[in-house]
Amino acid sequence: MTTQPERHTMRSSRLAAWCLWGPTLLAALAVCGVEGLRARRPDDALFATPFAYSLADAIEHDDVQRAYAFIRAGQDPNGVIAVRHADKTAGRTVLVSPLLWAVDVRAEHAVWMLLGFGARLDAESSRTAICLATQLGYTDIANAIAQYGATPAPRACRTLRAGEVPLLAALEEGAGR
Amino acid sequence: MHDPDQDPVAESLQPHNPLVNHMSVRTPGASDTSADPASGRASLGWMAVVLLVSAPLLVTLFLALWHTPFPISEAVALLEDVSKKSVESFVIPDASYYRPFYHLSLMAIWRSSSPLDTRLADIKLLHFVPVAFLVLLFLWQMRPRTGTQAAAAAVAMAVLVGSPGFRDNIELPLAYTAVGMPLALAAWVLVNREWRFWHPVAIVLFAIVAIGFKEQGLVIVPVVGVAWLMRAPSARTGLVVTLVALTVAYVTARLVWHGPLPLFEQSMGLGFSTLEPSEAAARYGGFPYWLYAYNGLSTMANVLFSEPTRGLFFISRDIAYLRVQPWEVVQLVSSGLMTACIAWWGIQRVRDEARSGWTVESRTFAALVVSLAACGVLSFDYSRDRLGGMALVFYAVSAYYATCALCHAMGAVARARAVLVGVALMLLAVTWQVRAVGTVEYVRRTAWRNQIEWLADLPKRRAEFVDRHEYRDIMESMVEQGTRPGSSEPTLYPRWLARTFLPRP
Repeated sequence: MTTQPERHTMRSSRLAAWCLWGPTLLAALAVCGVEGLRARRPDDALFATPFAYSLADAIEHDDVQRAYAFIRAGQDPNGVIAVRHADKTAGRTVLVSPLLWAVDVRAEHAVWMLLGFGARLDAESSRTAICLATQLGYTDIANAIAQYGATPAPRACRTLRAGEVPLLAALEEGAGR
Repeated sequence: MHDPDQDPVAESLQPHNPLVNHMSVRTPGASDTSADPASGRASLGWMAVVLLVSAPLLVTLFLALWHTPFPISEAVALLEDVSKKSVESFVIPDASYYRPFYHLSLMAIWRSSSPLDTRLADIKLLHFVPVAFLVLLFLWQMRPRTGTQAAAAAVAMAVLVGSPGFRDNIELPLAYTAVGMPLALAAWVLVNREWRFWHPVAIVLFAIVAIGFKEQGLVIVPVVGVAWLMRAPSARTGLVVTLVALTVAYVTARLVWHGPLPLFEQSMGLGFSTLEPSEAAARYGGFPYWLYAYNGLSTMANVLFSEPTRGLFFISRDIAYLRVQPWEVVQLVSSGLMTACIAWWGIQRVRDEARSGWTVESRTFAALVVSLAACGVLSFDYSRDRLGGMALVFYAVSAYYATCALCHAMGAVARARAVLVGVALMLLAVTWQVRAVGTVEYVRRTAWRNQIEWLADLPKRRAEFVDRHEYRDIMESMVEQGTRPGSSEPTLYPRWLARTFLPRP
């Protein structure tokens, strides 16, 4: 027969064990739950960044992995993409190169990815991208393109007029040539 | 030599302090289990329970690691080294970093005729097998026999996995200390077992391999030394003399072959800011020893309190500026509480067993103290979380004993104090489990960052290494593994929860 102090000790010891087991079991169950959900619904908001409908969409969010998935799937990094934005394109749908769009929305990772995975710049498009980055004040991106893109055409960037949308100005200038 | 730890009857006759005697966890010693089959079966059963409870976390961790791309920054340079350098260049200790076994293992894998994916998988295995071995050996060392001990073992497992010394040592492909950690534990297991003729041979081999992977392996020497001083069954004088001779030979070889060493090799944290080696040399070159001491103490404090990190007091800075984040609270509370618990348990055990004879528990505490000191000494030049990895092994084993002791103490104190002890136990379990889950998220974040680096750094590196053809070839061959979809990605927990696990990215 156990004595009173022995019973107290045993009870306390069991209680102590449950103080440890409680959180431990809870953690194990939580991990099982989260990983089970990951296996069943990998596209759940808990595991995947918001779905990108297009390369333009992925670039706009600087989601470089989703953007790369489009390139990997065969989309031409030197082709054109349709973009539309209330401010960046004044609400108009315009066709633009992925790199220029990445510069415009300051998607730095996407700029690097495009440069690394097939975006080819000639002297003129390099200058356009650098000018756009400079006009927007994105010095890092301008420097990156200057250093790792093609040597830009040796013409100074023009100053934007009041109210002019930088991307549209860059496209107009490119079309004018 | 008689060891009371090997003999339960003798141990029960010892005039211990009743509370401390009650605290004793009589664990590792092979003879305990073999002498009592029922106890052995119970032990196996509880080990299985601990493994089962820890399995979700461990399996998730290893899967996340497996799906982690090699980083562009470290991996390519290492593979370039083993691809173009000779065997001698890694064996002759004339460089600042001397890890011959690591480089030769990497060389053997990389130069094999297997396809690229197989070679990269083998390099991952070189890293993960020791980590898996560490986890299993750790469990084997604890060998819980009751539900309480099993609960303490599960918490200790979280301590091991959730510590910065573990996180930093699972970074691909830097397997240096990840190999040394299980070897240190294996040496510790053997040294505390009844003597067999092969034990000293195995321990010396473990030490050689660990040192060959990184100089941190030297930590095994003082650990065995302290076991010898405290009369561990397999720590005989011949073993200690051999290990000391090995250390002298290693240090002599490094000093003889090496040219003049720079005062500081890498950047280091000092207070709230980082010093580059040139700046540190300019400011402290006249008398660098204070900075060496600071680096060593930083590594030791990181194991005990998770602060500072790389010599930088991030958490203290955030406290000073009232910008504390939840993960910082978790780190401070968990480490502070566990370290206090270990100190309370360890000091009592040493004090009592100094009179009655040493057991594996007091030896473990002493091993923790000397391994911490050794890690501190070996990280004199700069402090990094991974440099505390060897001491972490003993910290985690001590955490097991200390948690068991705290559980038992709960039954030996008055109700009001028992409530406090219960709260402390609950806090320990909650915070360390959070940290263990944080390690999984840390690995995922690392995998995600590695992939971003492959996607975004390629043009820079192509330009930067345009003249290093070997480097460029290796890098280009690894682009696919670095950019392949399906690598680990961080779980997008709600912000408050994500910040409890890790700092803001």
